[in-house]
Amino acid sequence: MAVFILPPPRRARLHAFALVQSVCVGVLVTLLARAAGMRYYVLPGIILGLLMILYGMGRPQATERLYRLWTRWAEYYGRWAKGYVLRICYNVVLTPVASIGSRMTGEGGDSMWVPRPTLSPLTYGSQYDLAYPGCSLRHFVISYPAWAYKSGNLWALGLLPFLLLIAALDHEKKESYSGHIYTLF
Amino acid sequence: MVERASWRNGARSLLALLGSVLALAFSLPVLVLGLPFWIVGICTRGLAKVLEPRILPWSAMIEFNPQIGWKPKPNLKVHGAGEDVFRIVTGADGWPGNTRMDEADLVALGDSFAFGFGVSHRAMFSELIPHVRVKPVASPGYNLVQELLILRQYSSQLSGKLIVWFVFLGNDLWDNLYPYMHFYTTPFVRRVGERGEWRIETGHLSPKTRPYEYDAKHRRRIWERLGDICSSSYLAERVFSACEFLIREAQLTCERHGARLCVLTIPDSAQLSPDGLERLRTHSSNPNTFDPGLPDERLLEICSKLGVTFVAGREYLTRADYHKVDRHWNERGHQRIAEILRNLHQAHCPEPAKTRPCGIGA
Repeated sequence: MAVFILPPPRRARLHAFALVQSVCVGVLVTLLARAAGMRYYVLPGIILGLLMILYGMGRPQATERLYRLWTRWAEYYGRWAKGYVLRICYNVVLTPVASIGSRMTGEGGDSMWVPRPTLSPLTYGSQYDLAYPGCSLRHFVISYPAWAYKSGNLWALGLLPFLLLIAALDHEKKESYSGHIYTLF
Repeated sequence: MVERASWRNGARSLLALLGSVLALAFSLPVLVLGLPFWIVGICTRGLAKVLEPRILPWSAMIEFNPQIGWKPKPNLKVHGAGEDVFRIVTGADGWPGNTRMDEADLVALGDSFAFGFGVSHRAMFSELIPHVRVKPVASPGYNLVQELLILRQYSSQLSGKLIVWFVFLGNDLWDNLYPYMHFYTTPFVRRVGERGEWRIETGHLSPKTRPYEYDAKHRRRIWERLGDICSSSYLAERVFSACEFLIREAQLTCERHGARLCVLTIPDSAQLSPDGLERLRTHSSNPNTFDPGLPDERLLEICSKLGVTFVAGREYLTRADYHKVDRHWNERGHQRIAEILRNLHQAHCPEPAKTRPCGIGA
């Protein structure tokens, strides 16, 4: 889940966003005031933060506009960052490793294909985003190094941070919706 | 050979390690530039969770009912989520609000619109009409067949009441013909016998749910079907034939028990904007015959024939009465519906509700 992307706006989320933005701006102004050598460097940050909170709470439409704008920027960032990390990963990790030669078999020359059991009918609608045993992120973080060690592909460990980063940045995958949000449509 | 493979493995691992360190260094701009988005995203989500009341999923608010498929649980005081979070209150009978059926002047029979989905309990239409006790009998996802069955269940308590039947044009009409509503089995109508008479089917009702996926095609399917019933199409023929059967049955029930029936159509928000109309027209199987007023015309014909009062919601509601994403009314829409219901009640029951109930001949 790309937590840097804000969820669809609701009243509580808009309030939370206004509060977070106000605190962030307050802290930033305080730091700048301190760096500028101001005597009461905390005051400008507090005043600006409070004004922003009041404005945000009093003008929810303005907050919503900012919320949507912020979400759009976050989406641009996510798209750019994912492409950037993929390029870095390909050029700096995969290409040098591949120059030594690839290895497509397991430790004893066995096939690396992994048999998968039949899926539950519940997964027919969307097989990739339903949580079924063995497919959680935590399970992946544990099983991936184990697989790399067992299969003699220790070099693949170098990819792990990038795989996790790409997963964290990926916000464009198609999702099926939970049953309880029937009325959204 | 083994030694060579082992040397290669070691070299690969070393290269991958060095490459990873270097690539991580190159990835620093991603982390630095993204920091504001990560901080704001995580903090906003966390804080919103604290500020927002606990939301109960829809599946936890309903229970299986062997006669009508499902029904809201009784005595709920919970929060649901649509476009925003809203308060849901149900009475001891499972229907929204606390008005009892025996004390109601007006019964609002319908689906999620009559249930008040999308606004908090206090902002829904039933709470906004002074001196008129409104009893919503509704649940999200209901079709007209379920509503007719409920009307029959309450037939002994209908005397003197005005029954306003909310007919949502955005799915009710074709849902009448289908044995499932997304995950759930639902009563439906089908043709039987040589003459192809309509009959209500409930034999398949079961607490078991089936897999169903809400995806982008879901909305597209709605546009196609709504476009079709606004055109000259096979679907429109079947849909309005079934509808006539259901309204006739409801009218018979009301007549027998001294109640007055009124059909109020609820347009889909797509029918209320030029963009939406164009979308419906292009999704229709017969765009040349597309007419957004067709469902209302057909239902008016049926109601006139059966002596049922008819109100076309399209003449009173605008796009601004609906939420932006959610298909339901916002608070303004509920106020508009409250005005319509108040006028209907005044027209059919001109004297104060406490002294004189309205009904046939009123």
